[in-house]
This record gives sequence, C-alpha cells and structure tokens, in this order.
Amino acid sequence: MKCTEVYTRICEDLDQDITSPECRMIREHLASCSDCQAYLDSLKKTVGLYRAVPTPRLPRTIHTRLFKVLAALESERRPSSTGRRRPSR
Amino acid sequence: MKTSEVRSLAEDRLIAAAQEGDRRAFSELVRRYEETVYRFAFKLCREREKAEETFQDTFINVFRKLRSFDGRSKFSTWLYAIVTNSCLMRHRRRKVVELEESLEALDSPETSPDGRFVREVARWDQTPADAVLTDELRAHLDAAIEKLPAEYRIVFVLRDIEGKSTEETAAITGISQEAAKSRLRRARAFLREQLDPYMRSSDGGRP
Repeated sequence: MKCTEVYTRICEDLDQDITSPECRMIREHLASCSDCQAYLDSLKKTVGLYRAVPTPRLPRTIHTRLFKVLAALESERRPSSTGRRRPSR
Repeated sequence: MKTSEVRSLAEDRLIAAAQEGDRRAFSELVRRYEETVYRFAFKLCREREKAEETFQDTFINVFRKLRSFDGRSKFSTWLYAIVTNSCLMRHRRRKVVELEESLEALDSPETSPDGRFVREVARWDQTPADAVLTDELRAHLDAAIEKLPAEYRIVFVLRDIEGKSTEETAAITGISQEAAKSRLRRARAFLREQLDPYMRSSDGGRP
C-alpha cells in the first residue's frame, strides 16, 4: 500500500476506519511508515484543538432581542384586530 | 394553549401547534433550540457579532418557513440546514475560486514514484490534543478556519465538532455523502497545513 492511498483513507474517519477489520493493510502501513503516522497524529491533533475551543452560551440580551423581533413579526402577520373604525363624532 | 402545557409537549405535537399559529408553542420551540443554534452559529462564524446575526436570521427564517416543514427529516436536521444557509448567505461575497483550487491540490500530495511522501511530515510531538489553548494558539486556529471556504467549514464543524454522521451532514447541506466525505478530507488537510508551521515550531504553542 502506498502513502497516497493511506492518506486518502485515514482522512475519512480518523479512528474508526483504521481500527475496522478491513483496514488491516492501513494499520500495517502505519506501523512501518513514520510519515503517515505523523500525518495521522497531526490530523487528530488538529481536530482535537478545534474541539477544545470553548463555545460561549447564548447571551441573555440576544435571547431578549430575538423574542422582540419575533413578536414584531407575529403582530405584522396577524390581521388587524377588528377592522372596525371608531365612529366619528 | 397554556405555557405549562406547551412545556411538556412532545416535539412533533409542539411543531404541529406552532404550524397552526399557536404563539406559545412557537416560543417554546425556539426556547428548546436557541442554545444549540447559537452555539452552532458561533462555531461556524467564530465571532460573536456574526454568530448573533446568524442566530437571529435563522429564527426569522424558521418563523417564516415553519409551515413548509413536512416532517420527512428530523426537525433538528431542517433547523441545522437553515443555520448553514444563513451562514452561507453571509459568505457569498467572498472569492473562493482560488481557495477551492488549493483545496483540491491537497488531495494529491507530492509523492515519489514508489508512492511515499516526498516531504518529510513534521511531528507535532510537543502539542498534545489537550494542550492549553493560549491566546496565541487560539488566534492561529481562528485564522486558519477563517480562510476555509464556508462550504468546507460547515462540513468540518458538523462532522468533527458537532459529531454529526456523514449521512446527516449530507442531509443538512444538501450534498451527497461522497461529497461530504471529500469536503471533510480537504478541510482537515487544509487546516492541518495552515497550522503546521506554528505547531512544528520549537515551543509547539505551549504557554
């Protein structure tokens, strides 16, 4: 097996593909190829670093703003309440 | 319908009530998903202001389009699709052609006639996956993903950050599973390439 084939396969599922029985050849290649090992390792670390970036919670002000916008859209959609006019004096 | 009733309603009945115009049901639907949508939008946009705009655009679209939701997909799949479309609309102006070409080039790294990599692949030994995220490292991560075209970034975030399956990622983005796999492969390779100079440097990003 060539590095280029391993390169394509290991990029698909990282852990899952290379531990499945049908990927024995990839495991064998990885065991003997330091470049492919280093490549896989750096891909896993790339993904790991992005996963580790903390995500902020929804700010309360943004929640409140959204519900105001939705209330405005709702009132636009509703037909005017009665359609009746006040009697003129 | 009373607020206490909608709070305990199963999702399909809640959606049906919201589609019929029940305001409390719609508000409850928004409450159930707003945190998920905001966090996903933040992961895509990586900037508070853009995430807030995408978040609001998403729920305005949900309000306008909810009646067209036919229940053939999961509601969350439909919702994620709206978030990704809102994100794409904001990125349409970017020139992505040159980047697309450089991403395709990542599919065929330079190799010798016997199929081995020509360039030695640098080790990132100094940088464990659970490395402390310094401001400097965080800035490199942000700069790298910012360069990634939105179509690729969306697939990367869905698969690798949100943990969605290839099948669901394809359903959300409206592409084939093969295309989703290809975009993921290129996105990972691109981000790795972008981070490589920093990660192979002597301190490996450690504080």
